Amino acid sequence: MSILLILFIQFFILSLTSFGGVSASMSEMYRLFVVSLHLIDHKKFMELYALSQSAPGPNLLFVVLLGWNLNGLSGAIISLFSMMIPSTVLSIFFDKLMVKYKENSWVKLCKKIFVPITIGLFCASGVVLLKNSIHISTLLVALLTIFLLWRKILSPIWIILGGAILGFIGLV
Amino acid sequence: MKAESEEKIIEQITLLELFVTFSQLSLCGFGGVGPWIYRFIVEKKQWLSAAEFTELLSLGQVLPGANVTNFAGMFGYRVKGISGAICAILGLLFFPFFIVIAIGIFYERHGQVAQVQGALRGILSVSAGMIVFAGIKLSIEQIKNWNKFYHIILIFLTLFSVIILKLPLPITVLLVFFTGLFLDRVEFK
Repeated sequence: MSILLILFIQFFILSLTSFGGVSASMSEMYRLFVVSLHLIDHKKFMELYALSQSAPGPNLLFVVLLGWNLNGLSGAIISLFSMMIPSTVLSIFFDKLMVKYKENSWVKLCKKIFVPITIGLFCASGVVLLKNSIHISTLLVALLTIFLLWRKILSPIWIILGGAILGFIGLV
Repeated sequence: MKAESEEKIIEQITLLELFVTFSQLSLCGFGGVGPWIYRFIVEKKQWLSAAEFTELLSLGQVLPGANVTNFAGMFGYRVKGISGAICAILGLLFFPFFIVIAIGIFYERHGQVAQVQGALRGILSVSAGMIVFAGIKLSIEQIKNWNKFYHIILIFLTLFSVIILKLPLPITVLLVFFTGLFLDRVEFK
């Protein structure tokens, strides 16, 4: 099966199941591309993820790097559109519906269920990232990040920069 | 019911403004565009009130896919239908698309240096923290609506399914969804 077709299908499915966005479904992308399909090795996957975090814009752009890595520009574009379009179309559709159905108990139930899924997926992504490098320094930086964000001491861009610098000078 | 004032404001936003504003806020968003959307759309441009914004964002929590991109699509569509949605999303993604690829190419050529590798490790650690924090924040936001038992089971089931069972995500989603329905029945019967 051609790479482009694989990218199209997998990201299409991901678009409809990524509750919590790319941060949440990144663990699934890892399972798919690294473990299951063996299309990218572990190291490359982590590098691409880190690079996408260092760039401005939505986290969605991670799939651009994945697609680029696998099939250049066409891979990048297909990945982006497949990941983006299904969920966006769904959202617009629901936005129109919601105005009418906001108090519907079925809708409330879905909220009840999808938020825990999102939280669970966030934890799974956290596990995937932390499993990558099981050093005490990694854990400390992660904890420090949580602290700084919780206390609103620094905005994300400075924390990312700080993490990059710490790594650059060899502390992480 | 949309307030009349909201409709008037929204009607006057041009496609160009959509594109430019979303481009601006996107280029500010390192590691996550969320906070910037609020800063630009609610505070700076006052296109939405805080309440309207929260409502739109919380709709995004029920839907799959990137929250921020969905928001851009929904908001853009409210302004000027499909073309509005396209302009907003284009604004969000156009420049960052090329920037991230440029970064990728640069890395391919110069990235195998120990210091750069170290920098990436640092970024990954920060990312891990950021994702975990997002989870904590979401939990805290929702906790007042929660029956703790029910929700903790669903969270752990998701985690278990993904990390231990390594099930494909669609299966995990279905599994947790139906477990949720079942638990809900059991509780409120």
